[in-house]
Amino acid sequence: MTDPLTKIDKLAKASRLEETPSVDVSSRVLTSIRGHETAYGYAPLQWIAVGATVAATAMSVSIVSLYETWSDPLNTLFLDLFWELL
Amino acid sequence: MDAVATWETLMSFAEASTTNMGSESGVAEIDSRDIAVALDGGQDAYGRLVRRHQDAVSKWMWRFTRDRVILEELVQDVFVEAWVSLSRFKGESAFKTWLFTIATRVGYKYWRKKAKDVAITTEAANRLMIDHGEKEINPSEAAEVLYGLFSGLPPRDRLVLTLMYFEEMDTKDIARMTGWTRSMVKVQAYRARNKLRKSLERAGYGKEKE
Repeated sequence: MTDPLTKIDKLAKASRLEETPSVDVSSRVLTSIRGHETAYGYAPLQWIAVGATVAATAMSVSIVSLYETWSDPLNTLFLDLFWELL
Repeated sequence: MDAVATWETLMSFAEASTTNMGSESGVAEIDSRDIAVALDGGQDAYGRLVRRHQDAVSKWMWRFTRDRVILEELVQDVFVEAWVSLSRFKGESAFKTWLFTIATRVGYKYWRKKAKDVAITTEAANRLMIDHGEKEINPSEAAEVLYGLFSGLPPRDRLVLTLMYFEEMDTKDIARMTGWTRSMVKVQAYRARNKLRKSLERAGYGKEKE
């Protein structure tokens, strides 16, 4: 039996003459890159939204903790004492 | 196998599809102009680039699949990926050379995704055993047999053998296409051919059919 690599050489030579199918993807590519561009165009807006959410959360946490401090009965008592002392 | 330097073979695909545009340098010039416009957001210019090179790219991607539907997807992926990295194209090589490097990466990724427990089948070995004698071998049939054989190998071996046998590339060109070093290509090619020979023997190549 012939050496397989010799046989493969022969087949490879023949295969180079193969007529290959051609495709037209131009419109699909353009549609796809337009979609890509749109997604890319939204990126800055998404970052602004993320920033705003972070800021709002931080603000809410501070307001709640501030409210808790002011509404604490002990705090009210100490404040009264403080004013008395003054 | 004599791996003669025939990078031109592959490049001739592109030339064949652009012959009506005149010389190689003419095509390169038109490409550069379209690339500049495309980088400025001119998608129509990119459409022209796609139409100019899609035949060559699809011819190359046909080595990575024998399925027309997947072929279309792969060719599309190549051009979308090229668009995404277009700003990184420095013009040090021809656009089509750069495109073929991307195409090789896309094809290789596709193989890696679907490669699971690859092995050369007895059927593939038997097809190789068919003696054609002096008869001319049908090119599509030959390509089909080789494709079937190589698909039984791991993607790295498959890639190096595809570039060597189908495209007659030498180690320098394979290194350029794959991004591997030349010595790595040599080692990979040596191992891949040995593996191919052994796998064929295991699959029954050379044994008489009962």
